[in-house]
Amino acid sequence: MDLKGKISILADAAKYDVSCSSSGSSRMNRPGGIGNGARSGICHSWSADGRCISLLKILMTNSCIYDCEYCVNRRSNDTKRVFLSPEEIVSLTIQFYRRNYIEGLFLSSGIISSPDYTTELLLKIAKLLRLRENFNGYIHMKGIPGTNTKLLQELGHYVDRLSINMELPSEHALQLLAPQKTRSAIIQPMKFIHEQFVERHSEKHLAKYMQPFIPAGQTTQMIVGASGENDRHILKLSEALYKKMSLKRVYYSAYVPIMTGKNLPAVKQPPLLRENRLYQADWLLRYYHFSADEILTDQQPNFDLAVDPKTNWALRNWQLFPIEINTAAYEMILRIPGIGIRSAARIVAMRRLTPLSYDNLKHIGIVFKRARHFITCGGRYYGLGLDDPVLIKNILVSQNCRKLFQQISLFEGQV
Amino acid sequence: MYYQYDGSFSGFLSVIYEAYHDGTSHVEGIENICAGTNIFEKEKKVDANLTKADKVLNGLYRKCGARVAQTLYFAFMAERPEREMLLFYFICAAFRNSHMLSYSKTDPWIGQVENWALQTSNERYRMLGLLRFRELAEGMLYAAIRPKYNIAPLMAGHFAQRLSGEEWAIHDLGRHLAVYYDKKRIITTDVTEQETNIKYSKSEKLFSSIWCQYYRHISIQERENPNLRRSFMPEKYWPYLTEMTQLSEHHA
Repeated sequence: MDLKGKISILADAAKYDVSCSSSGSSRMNRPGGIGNGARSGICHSWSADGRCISLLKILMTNSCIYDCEYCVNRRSNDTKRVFLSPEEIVSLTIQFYRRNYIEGLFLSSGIISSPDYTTELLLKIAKLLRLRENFNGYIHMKGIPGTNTKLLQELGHYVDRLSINMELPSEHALQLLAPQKTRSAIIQPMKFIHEQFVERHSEKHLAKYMQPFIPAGQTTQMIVGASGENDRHILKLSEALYKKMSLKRVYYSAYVPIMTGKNLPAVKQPPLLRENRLYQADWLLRYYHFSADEILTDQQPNFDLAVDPKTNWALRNWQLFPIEINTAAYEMILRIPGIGIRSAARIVAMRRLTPLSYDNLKHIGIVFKRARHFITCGGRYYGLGLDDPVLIKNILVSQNCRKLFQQISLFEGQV
Repeated sequence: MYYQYDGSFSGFLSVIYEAYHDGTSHVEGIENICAGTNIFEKEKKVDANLTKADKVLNGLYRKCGARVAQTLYFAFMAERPEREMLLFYFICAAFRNSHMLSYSKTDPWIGQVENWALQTSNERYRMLGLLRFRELAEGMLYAAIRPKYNIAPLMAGHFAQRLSGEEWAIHDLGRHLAVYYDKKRIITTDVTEQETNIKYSKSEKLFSSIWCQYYRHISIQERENPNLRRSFMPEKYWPYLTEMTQLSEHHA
């Protein structure tokens, strides 16, 4: 089979991996080398589903010894198996990079013969790129559960980001859908990488130069909607991963029913809105000083699909509002629906010079339509009522969203 | 006093130098010689002078920091017809109270200048990803773009670091301007003649077709969302994107 045919099959097999970010690494180009890292990441294209393409996201091979029920590449699935040689991957990466198609390589693989053997092949590719081709662009590789930690450590010196997939949010679901993978085999390498980070951080002041080790950190991914966990469970898990493993990102992937299996739920459409709400809550965890317990409570363990989690929190804690823009603390301003990190910082900077007026607020970049119900500006309230949060909620759910919400509730029992 | 300059950034900075020399209160207007005709009586034609321009830019840099200097440059590159007096006002405000400038976005004129700079910077950042090089027969990489703002010179530094061992050129089709890198220096030139017969290298067709194939297969059909794609990647950029042009050829 020619290269084009192989690429089609392996891109098809890799596309369900969500992560494609190229941020976090500011690796410099070396003399005579090609490429560098851009700290903020650069998106190079967007595919027809609106997801950004910044890395050449591809599998080394789609043949796999595991039999995970949800996966296209599972052993029992009757599909064509192909293998890209290290040389082919290296030349593709360099040629794509020169033409500014991509920001680097995101290599994952099905598991052939053993996790260690597969990781050795990945390591070989990373070494070829970094040492022979003098390539200094972004490299993201998958850590394969059950790999020897020595191999992971060596791989860490060459790549910018390493990610080990959680796959499913609970041990039970893992047993059901991916019987060959265990929770501990996934958590252990994650923990190992985290310990390496901590150790290196404490030794940083001892050496002038240290060999880089996964400068863009580690991430993970889990499938949402393939097993019965509630949103609170998933969010608590993410919070623990951020706190205990210092992960950079947790990615959520709405379960796309491509395979059929006796343990898989029968859904017609991927739960995209739920995935979106999870991401919104994830942002609240990482940037807005929220905790998972605040976002979802025991009484309400699932997201209200009609409004975003921040608005939902505000409506539940109605006694805290309205907030006076000119005096409130930065942390409180962050919690107002319709105000993001940038505009919150801008408000705090601008009010040092002069009190903010209604006119200033209009031009500051906040979503005034939403925020006005929750704030006062110079003592005046511009919203539509302080008595009843239900009224505000009805206003905030847009016509468009209401239509979508009705569609989704048809499937609710199945999701 | 009315000042005239040649339309270049260093020309504009030279005007600022002269204006400070003559006294800023005498400035009634600054006009681009390429854009307008001279209908006024008291004009002063200022030639671009690199030492004078350097003095102004360095002064601004030292007094107000890199961010303000960059804002000025980027806002200038937005090429708005009414830019000169607003930028002049911005520079005066910056020199007068440098430490207050970051708080004075409530001032509508300064806010406007910041806004122009932001728009230029946004398009530059987007174009860093959306630019597509093609390999010519001689091995040089060539990219054609048609951006709204004058961002080709602003992108040169990025690619000079990234592709330091390559020879490349970025051609702004709308402004007839090209930035060329010869493995050592960046050269900005005007392009007077349009090259019609561009010969691409042999491997170019292979890799661009593999890229298109990859582009088609990486999207998940169940999640198709053309509106979302258009909002990230507006259609005005599509004619210069390898994957979009070849896709439409394929369907036609």
